[in-house]
Order: sequence, then C-alpha cells, then structure tokens
Amino acid sequence: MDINKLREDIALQFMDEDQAGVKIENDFRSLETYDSLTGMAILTIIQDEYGVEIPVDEYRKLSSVRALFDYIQSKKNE
Amino acid sequence: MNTYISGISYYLPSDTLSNEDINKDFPEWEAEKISNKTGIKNRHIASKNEFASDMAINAANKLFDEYKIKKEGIEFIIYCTQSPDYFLPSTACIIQQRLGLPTSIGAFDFNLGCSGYVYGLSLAKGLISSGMVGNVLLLMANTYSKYIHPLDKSNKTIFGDAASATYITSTEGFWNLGEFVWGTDGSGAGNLIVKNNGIRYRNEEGVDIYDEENKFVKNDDYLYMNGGEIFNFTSKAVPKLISNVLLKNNLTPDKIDIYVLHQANKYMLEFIRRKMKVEKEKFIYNLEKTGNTVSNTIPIAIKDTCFDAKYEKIILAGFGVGYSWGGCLLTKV
Repeated sequence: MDINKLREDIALQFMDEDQAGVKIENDFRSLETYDSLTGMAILTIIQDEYGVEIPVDEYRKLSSVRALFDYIQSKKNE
Repeated sequence: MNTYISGISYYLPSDTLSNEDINKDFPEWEAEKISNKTGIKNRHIASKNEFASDMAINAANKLFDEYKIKKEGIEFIIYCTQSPDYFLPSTACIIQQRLGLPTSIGAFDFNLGCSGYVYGLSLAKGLISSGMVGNVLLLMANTYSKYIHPLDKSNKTIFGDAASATYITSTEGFWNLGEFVWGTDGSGAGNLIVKNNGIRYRNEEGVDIYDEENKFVKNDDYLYMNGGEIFNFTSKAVPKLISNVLLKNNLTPDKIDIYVLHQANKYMLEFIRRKMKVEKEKFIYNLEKTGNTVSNTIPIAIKDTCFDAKYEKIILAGFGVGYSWGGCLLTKV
C-alpha cells in the first residue's frame, strides 16, 4: 500500500482549490471546503479502494492521511 | 412497437430562494461555498397557495402549446408526485377535469421521488408498446419545500419545487425509449422520509430534535434526510445500475454520448462520475437555476441540454427515496 496514492485518493474528494492542501501529515478537516459530505466520500473511497470499512466514530479520531494509512494497515494486518 | 418521447415542457414557480437568501438566515453558510459544493445557486419555491397539482397543470398546458398537442387526443395521464393534494382521490383525476381532457382517458398517481421519471417512462412504454393506448401524458410535480422545517438548512439548500410534462407516443418523437432496469431496497426507507401525518403516524406530533452542539437534526412532521446513508447507497447503487442499463441494451460505455442522472447535488454526481471513470464532458450538470427538483431533474435536464445537442445515445438514471432506482436508454430518432 502506497501512502502517496492514499493522499491522492483523499485529495480528490476535496474541491479543486483545496486538493493541493491535503498533505500526508496535516489535519485535512481544517481545510476550508471540508464538510460531512467530504467525510462520507473519504469513507466510501477507502472502502472501495482499500476494502476497509471505518466506523464513523473511529473516523472522527483520524485527522491526517498518515493516521488513515496506519488505521487501514492495522486492519489489513488483522 | 416503438415508443417515443415526443415533447417535454416544465414549469417553475415564480418565488425563488437564492444562496444569498439562505446565507441571510444561516450566516455560517456562505453563498459561494454553497454553490461550489452543491452546484446550486437558486431554487424555485411554490407560494403558500400554489400546490403540486397546480404546477403540473401549468406544465401540461405549456406542453400542449409548445408542441401543438390537441387535448382531445390525450389517452392516458400518469402523474408522479409525493405532494398529493389529498389522500384520495388520485390527483390525476382532478388534473383530468382541470385540464379539460376527455372522460374516456385513464388516469392515476404513483408515489416515487427521484426515480419517478424513469419509472413513469417505463409505465408509459408498457401501455403504448402493448397497444393499449397510443399516447401518454406523463406528469411530475413536487413541492418538497412545504415539507422542509424552517431550521433545516441542508434540505433547504438542496431541494427546489418544479413540475414537468412529457408526451410519449407510438408515432413520432425525438427519442426512442430503449430497455429499462429497476431497483428497490426498502431497508433504506427511514433515511429519506416524512414520517408523520400518513395513516401509520397520523396522530403523532413531531418535536424538534437537536444534537449535542445544539444543531437542528429533525422533526418527524417534516422531511428528514440522512445524508450520509443516502450518499452511501447512491455511491454503491448508481454505478451498478448504469452498467446494468448498458448490458440490457447491449452497449458498451464508449457508445454513450451523454449521461443524464438525477441531479441530486453536484458533489455527489462528481463522486459517481469519478467512480464510473466517465469523462466530465459526458455528464450533465444542470442544478444551478433549479436545485434538486426530485423527479423533475431528469426531464428539466433533457429539456435544457439535450434537445439542441447531437446526442445519439443517452443514459437516464434516477435514484433516491425508497430506496428506489431505475435507468434506461434513449436513442435519437
């Protein structure tokens, strides 16, 4: 699994002006256009592309691409 | 026997609700942000004394004028609404009388939301291709605005009111109706619902429910939409629906000129488009002036974008409340 690919997949769920602002380590929720729809899109894309379903309560605690990456990895290793 | 779409007209109420108007009541939602995310700048809203049936009649009269259709030749009315005038009678009966159509016609209502247009086309095709009638007047009208709670900024932002009229015949038209695919999953019924005031909860009285941050969540007397669940359903069901429509019509994606999906909101349409790996130019976005007008978004989008274009093959897909979904192919005549 490639963390840069995950970053790109997450960034694509943002409006154009915010896509470059999605970094591996920063808090993507602090970006201007993030809202609950963006959150749903991120959860759906992770389920589709990585086969991991993240419960909404768990997702709320994960605020960076790195944190999502680590979560997906840990679930895949279970 | 072929079945054709031989005309489409639509009617929008004159009152409007712009993003600026929404921003006045909800300062935290900036007009530009709303339009970037949803693709919507304006919605039309039925006035206090204007009802879906009135709007459907206006749309039908526009259709008769625009396409020089003789009222006495109409053989059947199918009316799709989730804003019926009464529990009974069927609003289609009232519309027959108010439009001055012959008493020899058939008329009935059916209750579907965003999938309604595709279902209506399929019913019309059934009646016509079996030889039972020569034409059908398919009407759609909704006034969701009357179901929306004053504090519900999400639904206020998304939905607009509208009516449309489509003339479907066996003789000639703009597009031939191809094969249909349908889908239903009632397990999602509670995710998009007006719960009270039907027979089951007729005597319940809704109360405003707020979350821990004191934001309005719902009141069962009004329209409730669980956006997250609807997103989830849509992102799974719609790409599958469209590939099944292609299969049923023996087509591959490269043969399709344009996809006209139910105009739910721009963000969701973009998500579906990316998932299906379809080019941007092949997707219709037609939300700016009217918002999500439920079963009317597809006929409005066809009217606004397809009549003057050279699209040979069009895929239609409607999906939403129920859950209910349906898709079909249109081929230019």
